[in-house]
Amino acid sequence: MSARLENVMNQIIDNAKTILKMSIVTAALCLSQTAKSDALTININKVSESSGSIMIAIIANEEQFKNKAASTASAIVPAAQGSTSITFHNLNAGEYGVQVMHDINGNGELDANLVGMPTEPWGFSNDAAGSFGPPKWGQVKFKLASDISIDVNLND
Amino acid sequence: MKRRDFISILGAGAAVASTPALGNSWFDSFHKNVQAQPWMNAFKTVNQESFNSTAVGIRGKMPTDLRGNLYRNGPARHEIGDFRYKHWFAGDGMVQSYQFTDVGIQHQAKMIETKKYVAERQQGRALYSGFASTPPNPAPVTSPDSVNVANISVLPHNGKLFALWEAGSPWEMDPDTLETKGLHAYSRETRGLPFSAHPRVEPDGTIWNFGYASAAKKLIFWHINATGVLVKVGAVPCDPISMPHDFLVTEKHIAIMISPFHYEGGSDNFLDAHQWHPDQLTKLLVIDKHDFGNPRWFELPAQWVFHFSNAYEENNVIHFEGARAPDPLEMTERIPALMQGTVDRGHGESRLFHYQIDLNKGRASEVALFGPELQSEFPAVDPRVSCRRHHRTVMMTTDRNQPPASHPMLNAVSVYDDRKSDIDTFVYPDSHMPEEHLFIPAPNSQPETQGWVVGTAVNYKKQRTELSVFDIRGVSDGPIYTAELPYMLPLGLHGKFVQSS
Repeated sequence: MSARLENVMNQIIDNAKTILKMSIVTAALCLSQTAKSDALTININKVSESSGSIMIAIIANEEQFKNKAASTASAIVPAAQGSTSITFHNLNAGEYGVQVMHDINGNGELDANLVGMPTEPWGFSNDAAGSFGPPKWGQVKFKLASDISIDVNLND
Repeated sequence: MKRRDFISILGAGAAVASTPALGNSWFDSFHKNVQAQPWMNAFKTVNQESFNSTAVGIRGKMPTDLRGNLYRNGPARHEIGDFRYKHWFAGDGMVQSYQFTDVGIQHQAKMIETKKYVAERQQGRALYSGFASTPPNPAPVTSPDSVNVANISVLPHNGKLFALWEAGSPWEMDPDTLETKGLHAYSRETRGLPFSAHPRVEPDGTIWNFGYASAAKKLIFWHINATGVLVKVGAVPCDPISMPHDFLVTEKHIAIMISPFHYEGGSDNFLDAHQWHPDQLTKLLVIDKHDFGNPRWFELPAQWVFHFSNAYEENNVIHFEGARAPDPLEMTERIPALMQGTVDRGHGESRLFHYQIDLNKGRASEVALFGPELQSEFPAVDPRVSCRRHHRTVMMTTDRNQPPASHPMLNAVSVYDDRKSDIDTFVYPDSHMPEEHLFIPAPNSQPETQGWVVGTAVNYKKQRTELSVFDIRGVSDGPIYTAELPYMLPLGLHGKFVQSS
C-alpha cells in the first residue's frame, strides 16, 4: 500500500521535474496522438492559494499508476486560488487516471514535513483516496469516450 | 521526501477497529448496563452542539481574587446513531469554559468542529476509524488530521486557545465564544506534525512539546516562544517507539519515557498495533533542551505512565514524579470494558513514583512514594514552578484502605508535599466522580504557598456537573466554594486555568 502512493507521488514529481526542465508552462497542452482523439478537461478545485504551480499527470494504465512506465501526458499550470482548469487534447479513447499536486513554493517538489507527510496539497481523479495508503488504480481510473470534463478536489 | 513515511503515518495516526459489529455491541451493552449502574451516565454521549448556563446551587464564597477562565476538554460524543465507540479516548472533543466572575460561574461548552466531526454530522453516521473502533463502511483516512478529534486537553496561550489531540495538529478555538477557528500550523513546513496534548509551558510563556510518529519511528520536539512563534522543531529517531502521552522539561533538558508497549503495526487498529512486552525495559530519552541534540538513553523496568507532575534538575540529576502503572492494561482492557459497563468496581493500578535520572552516573532510578493502597493520577503543580524545582503536587487519588466508591474511577483529590510525610486528602461523596484538579496560585503570593485547588466532578446520581474550589493549604477541610451546572457533561480529561490579570 505505502509503496504505491509513494510511487505515484514520485511519478508526479518526476513528471513535473521533467516538464520544468523542458520549460513548458502552459495552460493547454496539445499532444499528438494517433487515431481518434478526445479532449479531457480537468477542473482542479480547492486550490488554497495563487502561489506556485499545479502539476498534473495523465496516466493510462496500472503500470503507469505504479510508476513502472512514464505517464501519458503531463502539464504545469500557474496556480489560481479556487479553481484552475486545463484541457488535454488529442487523447485516445480509453481508460485514464489523473494525479495532481500543488507546488505552492515553486521548488518543483511536493514538500513534506519531518515525518515525510506532504505539506502541499494533492489529489486524484474521482477524488480517490486510500485508507492508510494510496487509492487503487480501480478507484482512480475513468473512461474517456468523448470530450469530457472532470473535477479533482485537492486535499489540504 | 519519504512518501512511505507519509503513508505509514496515515496508518499510525488513525486507527481502525476490529469489526463493525463490535461498535454496535458496545452500544447495546452500554444501554443495557447503564440502568443498573448509574455511574455509567458519566460516559453517556452528548447529542447537542453546545451548552450555556449560569451555575446554580452555590455553596460557600468564591475568593475575590480567584478570577479567570477554567478551560476543559474531553471526549463527549461517544455515539453516532447506534454506533458507540469502544474506547473513552475515541469520542469527539468538547471544549468548555467556566468563567469565574463577580457574580458567579458562567459556563459554556461547544463541540469542537473538527473535519471529522463536521463530515460525520453532515452524513449522520460515523465515517472514520477511531482510536479503537471502526464503523460500518468506513471512509478513507487521508491524514491524521482528517480523524483528529481534538479531545484531550487545551492550551491557552498568548490570548489564543487551542484544543489538543496528540497525533495531529492543534485546533484553534475562539477563547470567548469557543467557536472552532481551524487547524493551527506553526509554519507551513510543520503542517500536520504531531503536537501532543501535554505541552510544558514555562512561567515566561515558552512552550515545549513533543509528538510521536509511530510508523516513521520518530519523536518530534517543539520549541515555541511566548508570542506563539515557532523557534525550533526537530525529530529524533526512536525505534522501537511507544505511544508516550506526556513528557518532561527541566531547566536544561527534555526527557521522555518509551514504555515497552511498542508500535509494531500488523493491525488496522492503532491500539492493537501496539504490543506489550513485560519482559523488556522501559527507556528514557534525555536530550538537550536548546538544540534537541545529545541524545542519551536510560533504562527502567517495564511500566506504563500516562502523566508526570513536573521535572527539575539538581546537581545534574533530573527529578520528577509520575503516576506509574505496572502495565498499560488500564488503557487496553479496563477502559474498553468500562465503556460498555462490564467492568466491576475494581481499581486501576497507577501510583505516584519519584524518578531520578543521574546524568553524571548515567543511570535512572525510581521509588514508590506511597504504598499500593494509594492509587494516583492526574498530577499537577503550581504553574509558576513549571520546569523548575517543585514541592507540591495536586493529584486525584483513591485510598483502597477506605470503603470503595460505588463507581470505578478515582474518588478523591490530594495534595502531596515532598517536605511532609502525609498527604492532605478530600474524599468526594460517593455520588461524585471527580475529574482533574489544578493548582491555581493566589495572585502576588510566593510560588507554592497560597492558592486554590480547582476541579470539576460528575455527580452522576443527581446528573449534574459540579465545580469545587479548595484552599491549597487544607483540601481535607472540604471545598470553600462549590457551584453546580444545571446539566451533567461526560467525564472529561484535562484543563488549564487562565487567570485574569
